[in-house]
Amino acid sequence: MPQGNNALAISFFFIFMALTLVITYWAARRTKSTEHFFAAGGQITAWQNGWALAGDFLSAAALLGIAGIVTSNGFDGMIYSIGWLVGWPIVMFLIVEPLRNVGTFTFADVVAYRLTQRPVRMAAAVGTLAVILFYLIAQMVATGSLIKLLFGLPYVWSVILVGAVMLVYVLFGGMLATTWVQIIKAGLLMAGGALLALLVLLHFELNPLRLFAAAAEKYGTKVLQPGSRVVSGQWDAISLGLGLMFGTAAMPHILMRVYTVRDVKEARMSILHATGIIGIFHLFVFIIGFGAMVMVGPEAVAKAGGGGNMAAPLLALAVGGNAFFGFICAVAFATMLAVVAGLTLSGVATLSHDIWASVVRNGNCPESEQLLVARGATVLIALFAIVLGVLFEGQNVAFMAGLAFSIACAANFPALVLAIFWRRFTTPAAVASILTGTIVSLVLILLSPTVQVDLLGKALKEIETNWWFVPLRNPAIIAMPLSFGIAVVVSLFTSETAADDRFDEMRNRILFGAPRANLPQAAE
Amino acid sequence: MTAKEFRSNRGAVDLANRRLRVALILSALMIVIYFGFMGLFAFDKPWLGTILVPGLSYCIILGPAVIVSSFVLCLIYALWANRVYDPGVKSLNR
Repeated sequence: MPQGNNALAISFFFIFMALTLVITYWAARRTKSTEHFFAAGGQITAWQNGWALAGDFLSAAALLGIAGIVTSNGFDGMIYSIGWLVGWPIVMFLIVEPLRNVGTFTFADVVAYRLTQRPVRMAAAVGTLAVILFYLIAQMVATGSLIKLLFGLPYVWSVILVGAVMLVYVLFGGMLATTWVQIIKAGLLMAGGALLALLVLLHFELNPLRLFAAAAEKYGTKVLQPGSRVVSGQWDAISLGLGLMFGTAAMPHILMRVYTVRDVKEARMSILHATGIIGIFHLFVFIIGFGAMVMVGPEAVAKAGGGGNMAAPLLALAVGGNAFFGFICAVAFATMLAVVAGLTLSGVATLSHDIWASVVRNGNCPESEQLLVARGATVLIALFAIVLGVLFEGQNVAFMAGLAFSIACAANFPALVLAIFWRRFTTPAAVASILTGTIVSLVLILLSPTVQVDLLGKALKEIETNWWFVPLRNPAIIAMPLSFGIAVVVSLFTSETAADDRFDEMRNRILFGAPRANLPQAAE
Repeated sequence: MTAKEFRSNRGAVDLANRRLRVALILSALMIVIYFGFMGLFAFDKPWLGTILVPGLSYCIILGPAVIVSSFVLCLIYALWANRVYDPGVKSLNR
């Protein structure tokens, strides 16, 4: 076991940190308006944005969490890989054109477009913040265990370190710096993942089937077959699928990225690039997970702690020695840092753009003030992330991130889709749908075995007879239909002439984009 | 009033509806592929786990196939939008 003070790993780590700080400094000198802070001035190209999207999306859950699940359970880990990809086509087909042409910074812009601004934005902010906090917990937990392994620092200090570094570059660099860090990180992550997969396959004559066969020989053919340890119930599997697919199409930090490019065509192409990059990466992760199973062993991975999250770094040590271990650790660290920053930024956009500027100040808020509020909100979210990260030590990242997607799927997706496609949709319905989705998901998670058994340590036998017990670990299959249902029922019982009238205006805008006068000058 | 203009702009309404149709068909395809796979995973594990040759089972083939198919569907949409939809929007009067 490598413990602490790995000089090579630590130097890689500092080289990366220095690089990101230079980018932040460069970006900070260019961040002069909210348009720059939240949308990088709309100057990012499709190819760059594709990498940045992949960077935002390929979190610790992808490299560390899924690899860990594959290592200990075989094929079942792939359920997460697949689920995290199939949402992208949905974003592409249903969401991207309306989102880009109707909104300005956040998805709430689109939901609120033809409804009453204040209540919708407040509800959307509640949903968004719930999603972001859950996702942040997942990232902070993985980062903590990684830094513990790398530096030998205590868990609490490693979480504080990540929080502090993240704070620095979101605070000063905003979206432009975050985007560049994402691009570099996504490039490194792909290169590292490809190299790791290649080094594994070199031991198996470059034939993945030999690797799988070796795994089956060592641990039984069950590793190549769907099992029930990762997702226990049948309906739980479908529920997880729903959450991953439609949650992806409603993740606030991903949706925010369609505004960083020049126009809707660039947005579309960036989604295509991102889908390709993420798909290929997930295939690498599958090889990496099986590689770790055969060459490191599930027992050794489990012993390293952190909910199986350390499979990929330990495999790097086994196939590439200390230098490669350092490289993978640095890349994984950068990954989490960048995702945490992207999440924070979108939480900040919610607090300052949706809540402060639109609700508190009723849209009459000078830009300098909005920027000030944004920076204050960054500090607040960083503190929350640190505290929650410490509390949830030891959970598997992929699973925790899955819960964040389930909340997004129930809270944001129904309102977003109905706002775009259904003329009869009304303000009370949007508010009811978002709040129902958020609250029902959170309550179901609270009553599920995840919290009751894993976190609170109650015995499953004792609580499963209680009337309130929820056997599902993934809430989407109940919460999402409820959220849709409430939206439809409330819409049918209320009527909103203004919303109805503006539906065609919105369709016009989806087709042609914003009227010329409203286009940001940066588009030229 | 843009809303009225939009309703009277036949070409625009047609193009918007056409995009909606393409988007819905492709989404439906993706949903069928994915939940077909998840359905097998949830309700027919023995078949999905059939070992074909050493190191290969149905799920090892179908899993990556779902990943590839989502990229292919995205590619189809992007090509259609770039080659048909965008020129269509340009040729319309705002």
